[in-house]
Amino acid sequence: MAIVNSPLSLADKKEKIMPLVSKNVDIDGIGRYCLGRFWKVATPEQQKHYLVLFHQILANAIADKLGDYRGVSFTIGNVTKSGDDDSVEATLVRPQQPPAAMQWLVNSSSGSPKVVDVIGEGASLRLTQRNDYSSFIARNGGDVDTLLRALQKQIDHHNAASAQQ
Amino acid sequence: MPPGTLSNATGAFKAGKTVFDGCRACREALPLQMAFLMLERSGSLYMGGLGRMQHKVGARMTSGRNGAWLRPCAQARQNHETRQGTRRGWRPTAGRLGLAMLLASTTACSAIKAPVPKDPDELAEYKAANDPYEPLNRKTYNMTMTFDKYALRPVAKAYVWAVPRPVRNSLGNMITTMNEPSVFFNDVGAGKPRRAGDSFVRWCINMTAGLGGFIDVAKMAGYPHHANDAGLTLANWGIASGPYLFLPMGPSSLRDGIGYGIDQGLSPWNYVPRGYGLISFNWAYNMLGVIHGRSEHLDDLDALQRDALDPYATIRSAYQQQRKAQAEAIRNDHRATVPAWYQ
Repeated sequence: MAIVNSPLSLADKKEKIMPLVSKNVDIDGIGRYCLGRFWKVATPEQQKHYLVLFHQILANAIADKLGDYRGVSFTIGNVTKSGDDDSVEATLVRPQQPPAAMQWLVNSSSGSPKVVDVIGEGASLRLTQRNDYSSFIARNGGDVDTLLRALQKQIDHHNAASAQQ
Repeated sequence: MPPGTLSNATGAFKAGKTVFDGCRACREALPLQMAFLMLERSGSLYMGGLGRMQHKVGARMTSGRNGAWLRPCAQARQNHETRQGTRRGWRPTAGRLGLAMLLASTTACSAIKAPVPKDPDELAEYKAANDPYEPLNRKTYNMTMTFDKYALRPVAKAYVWAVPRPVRNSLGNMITTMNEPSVFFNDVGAGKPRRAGDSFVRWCINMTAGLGGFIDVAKMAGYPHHANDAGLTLANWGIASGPYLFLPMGPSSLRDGIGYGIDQGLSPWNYVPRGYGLISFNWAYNMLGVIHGRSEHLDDLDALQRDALDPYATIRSAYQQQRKAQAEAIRNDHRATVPAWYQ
């Protein structure tokens, strides 16, 4: 939180945030979930390549948002059981914007608690993402490589855009 | 609080849910439909006018810009009466025929229904997507997004550029307040007295102390706005959503589409006697509703279209999840009817 709100530059913020994210977020798990039924279809190389790309996509998404955020705070509400996971209610308070309510699903099966999903106003991040990916693959002849290429293109695009700034 | 950082990343994905919220979709739809109706009407007027003009000209003119087109008419002057007669009937019929052919060709060229997959995993996905009319929906989606790209989005951007934030907030409050009766009737329909009371009080306070809805006094007094529409009411009555539909006004479903029609009937503005500037008010209100609604989601929708590999599927998924969550939120609202200050 202190890092997000600090007046550091975007690159510095990103450098400090990413280790925390990988420690507390089950990125591999989310990535596997997002690939859905195509995870089984993908070859081990494709799976590996996909997870590398997925990490980068997530890092980019975080970096995009980090720049916008200053003076944000969280209030943590009730914790309820939701299946195997704990659902944590949280409200994100941003200056000059209406507060956003969300839930984090936290799974502790790996020993340490890790975030596995974020639900914002009823829509699950990982489920929405999974539907995006699987629909994309299905419409491109069920070929996982097309997804990998598209993700790579997104990353290149993002890097090119941030290099220009 | 590191996990929070992930939620920062969700903005783009969450966009889908906020892009089209229920009542906004309702407001958006009306002017669109009206615009189409108007177009149709003015089109036929124009055609009729042109037809009449050409009859007159055809009788006299044998050359010039329209000459080639009209010459047969002038050359066969003996048959003029009959020709005129046939033409009068022929023009609109041709239009209708063309429309029918267009519809037939779009229907024939591609199936409206997607084939049901055989593979069990694929079938599970197909069922979860709840979108048997996907080919048709994707066509509507493309059409809507093209319209958005060249018409609605630029106008919304201009609106944001021209109108300062406080004024836009006031207009937004007004639009929300004006829709409050519809929310109220749906709260009653859903059997939620506390929610109905909230929306009733909001209407009363905002229309008086809030100067016709421009200031959201009710929110300051502890009655924040909640959304409701007939689609959600039907959902609370246990009616399933039916297949997902992408309508010109945004993502919907069979149930929500019907709900939209009911909401139109619940809006009191349709029952005020005609005249008294009501038509101008309705037009302004609905147009403003569309533009304002779109302007609130400029960044969200841009991000979604940039980040999603298949924006159609992302919107479909987010919309259906969000509607389900909204219906559940209403179902689980068991607050006491008496307000907190009374207890």
